[in-house]
Amino acid sequence: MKKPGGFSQYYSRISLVALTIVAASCSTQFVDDLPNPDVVKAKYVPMNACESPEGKPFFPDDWQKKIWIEKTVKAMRGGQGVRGKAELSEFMRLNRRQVVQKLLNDPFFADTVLDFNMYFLGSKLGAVRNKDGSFSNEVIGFPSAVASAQNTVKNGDYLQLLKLHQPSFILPLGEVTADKEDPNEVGKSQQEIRRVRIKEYRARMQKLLDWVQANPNDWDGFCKKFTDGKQDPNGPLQGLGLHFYLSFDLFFDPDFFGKLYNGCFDGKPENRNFAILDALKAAQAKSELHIKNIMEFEPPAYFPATVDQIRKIDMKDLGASSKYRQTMFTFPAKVTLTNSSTNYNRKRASYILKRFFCDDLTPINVESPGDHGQKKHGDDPSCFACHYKLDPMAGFFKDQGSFFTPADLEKDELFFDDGAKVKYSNYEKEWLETGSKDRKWRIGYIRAAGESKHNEYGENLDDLFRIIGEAPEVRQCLVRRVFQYFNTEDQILDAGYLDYLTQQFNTIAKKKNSSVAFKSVVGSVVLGCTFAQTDPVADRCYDSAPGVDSKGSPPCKVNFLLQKNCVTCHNVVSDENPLDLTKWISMPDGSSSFHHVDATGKQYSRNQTFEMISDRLSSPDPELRMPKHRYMTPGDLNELYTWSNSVLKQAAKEARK
Amino acid sequence: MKPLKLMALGLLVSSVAAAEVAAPMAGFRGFVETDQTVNQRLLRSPKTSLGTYVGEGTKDFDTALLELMGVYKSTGLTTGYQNAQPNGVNLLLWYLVFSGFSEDFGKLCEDSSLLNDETLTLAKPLCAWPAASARTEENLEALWLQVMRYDAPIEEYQAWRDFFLGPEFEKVSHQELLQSASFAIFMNPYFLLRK
Ligand code: HEC
Ligand code: HEC
Repeated sequence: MKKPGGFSQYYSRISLVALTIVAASCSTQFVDDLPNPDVVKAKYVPMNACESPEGKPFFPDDWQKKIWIEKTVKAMRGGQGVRGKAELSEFMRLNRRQVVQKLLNDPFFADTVLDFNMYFLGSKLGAVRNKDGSFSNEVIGFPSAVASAQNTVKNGDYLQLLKLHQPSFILPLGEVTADKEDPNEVGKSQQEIRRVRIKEYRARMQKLLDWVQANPNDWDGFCKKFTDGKQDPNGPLQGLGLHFYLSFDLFFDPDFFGKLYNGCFDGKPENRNFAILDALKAAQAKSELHIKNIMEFEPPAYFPATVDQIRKIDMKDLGASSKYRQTMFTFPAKVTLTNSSTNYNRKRASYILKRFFCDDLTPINVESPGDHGQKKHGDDPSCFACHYKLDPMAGFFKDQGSFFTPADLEKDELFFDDGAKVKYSNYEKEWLETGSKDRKWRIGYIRAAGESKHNEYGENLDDLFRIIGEAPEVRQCLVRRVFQYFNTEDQILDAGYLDYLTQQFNTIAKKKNSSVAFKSVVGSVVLGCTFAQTDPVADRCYDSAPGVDSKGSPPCKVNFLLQKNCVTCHNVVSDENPLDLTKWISMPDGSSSFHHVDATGKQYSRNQTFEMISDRLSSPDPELRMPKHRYMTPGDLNELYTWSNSVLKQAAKEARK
Repeated sequence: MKPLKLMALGLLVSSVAAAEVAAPMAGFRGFVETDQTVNQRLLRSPKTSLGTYVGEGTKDFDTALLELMGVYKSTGLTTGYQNAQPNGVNLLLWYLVFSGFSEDFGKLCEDSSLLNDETLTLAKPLCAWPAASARTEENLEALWLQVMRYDAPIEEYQAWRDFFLGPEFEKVSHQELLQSASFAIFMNPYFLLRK
């Protein structure tokens, strides 16, 4: 390696360079971009802050355009960049809209959709494929993400993403390793090993059946054989390479081997009240079905090259019973979203709020979780801030025990992931509505505490999925995630622009379908000014809705927080609302302030308004404290409060002059 | 270990300086993405992993190391991009990865097993370094673009090019040139960081 002295110079040069090129090309316009009538409807593509009517080209030089192309191609082809010089010059001949349109129709765009979908559901991989081009097994943990990505290719229902009831998908059977002690397997190919195992399964099964026929109800004798690793027929069956996301509880399904395992597990008579032979024969039938269907997915015969080639599998065809609920909450959810005798589904609720509603309740260190059972801490003001919506959301999961296994209503019991068991009829009382006669359960998506007309109530997961499918908050959250996915999570997003994109999504979804809507939003975001930055500053808004004069809005940084925390109540001035936190108007003295009027309709001075804002933000009285009866993160509060005070200070300074 | 310190300084200076202007940079692209990028652009076999340069595949290897280099939590439902902000530890890891990798890269004129044909063809003219025929802008640009593509502004390329056409590298061997020049691209913030 070269002398360090040189590098030092070189690197101080780099950091200088990094600083001087921060300001990219966004005060110019793209005249090289013709409106495109197709996928990205011209009228839906927002005018960005970076498009000024000066008529200068969007990119000052070819190099800048190439930067944008490389970034865009990578982002829209699931991480695969431009494939070489020839492709690059092909892209260079197109304008930005044409580039985006071409990529929206690229077969690898589905990789991006899939990766995004998984991110939306809470699992960002970094890449949906392994380096050899096969799909990461992680994706089958998210059937709704795959289904939605497949639909997008066909311009079908993108919003399938939100419907968590989905058939499973299956990837090629995984690699099997030869058992070093088994001469039948050593040195054999993958295909051969699988066939050896199928043969072995059949031999074991036949032997066991013969034995049971001769010894009909000898449970102890049967269990000795059935649980012995060298005689258990299930063993070789599990060694065919089905990914554990799919096989995890399949073989323990009661209609598969589950009943027999149960009978052998603790020897209780009530678990042995059936004929072994019948159960074993049933399991045999399931096993043969399993083998027949699973072998269709053996590589290399089955090797999906694109997302739409990933095939569905009905778990019943692999031997699952009809009650099998695997696909609703898949393996990743089962192991992550655990429930306990103190948690009462709150982790699950917080997942739903966070991922589907973009509502980041930050879990706090709870000091005395012990008193939970007796008192509803949802009533304590400091806890109420989160729990008023967390606990009713948790109720949707009330009959989901450990690993999302439904409560056993016959036995009136439910298991937690920590092994504890409760009497279900007692447990579900946690969610009985006490404050209203209108409904039985205090279960729902709560927008405003105590204002049932704003809220969506329900009882079970079907209700929850229906609410998720309809709630405007979820659509908006989806659009927000698109922006965050293509830019970064900490990049500030102007709330007006978010609204605009959400409307774009909803309008197109209604007129055409949700795939076209999704593509148009992706198109707008990658054509946006934020995405065009080489070094975006995280707390600056680069994009705004068309026609919005950002001069008329509060500074972007707080505008976002006001939109998030206040404007649902403080939008237009009306009889009930004296304060409009969306309008930043010029005052007679030359300063700017919110539209805010007293009882007679007279505009308050800037000083009066901001004194009231600071007071309302910091009041200890929950009736006065803003946002009224709602939770705001300490970070947001701090920022708004600091800003309000700085406006007051500024006003005082100006007054002294 | 001296170059490491300087390298660390280089990266930190640029991110700290940016922080003063506004918000911090968005952090490392992360192990998975960077590994994939190197694979797509440069490598012959998808089986080659940058992880081997910090011991992946050996018995003492702990995948936690790769997590330190910036990853999305890949299982479960609690997405969070972790270890994305440059710090002493992950910078050291990236340094180890790319000092190892660029050493192998530097041998491309003698050993063609690591890199793909396109990369070999583009980089071959540099095998004549330090001959004047090799020390051209054209040759250096070909190398830069093969590794970086258009992830960085032109000023980054120009600074790099001028440095390696300058007196420091006038007389070094082609291995040393290839190793140092590729290393400087790999450790460039535009290669490692998400912008
Ligand atoms: C900032 C929002 C927030 C506030 C304020 C809050 N909580 Fe929570 N609480 C949560 C979230 C989110 C969870 C679920 C955490 C998880 O399991 O992932 C939770 C979980 C709990 C649990 C279950 C813990 C367990 O897993 O056993 C209890 C008990 C609880 N909170 C009590 C309280 C009490 C008492 C207060 C007031 C002192 C309070 N919370 C205030 C958000 C909040
Ligand atoms: C859930 C609805 C709601 C939200 C959200 C909300 N407010 Fe209010 N706010 C009200 C209502 C209703 C009043 C009038 C009744 C009262 O005085 O409490 C009010 C009054 C005020 C007032 C006093 C206005 C006056 O002229 O007396 C200020 C200032 C204020 N809010 C600021 C805010 C700020 C800042 C936020 C966001 C951090 C916010 N509010 C969020 C409902 C809300």
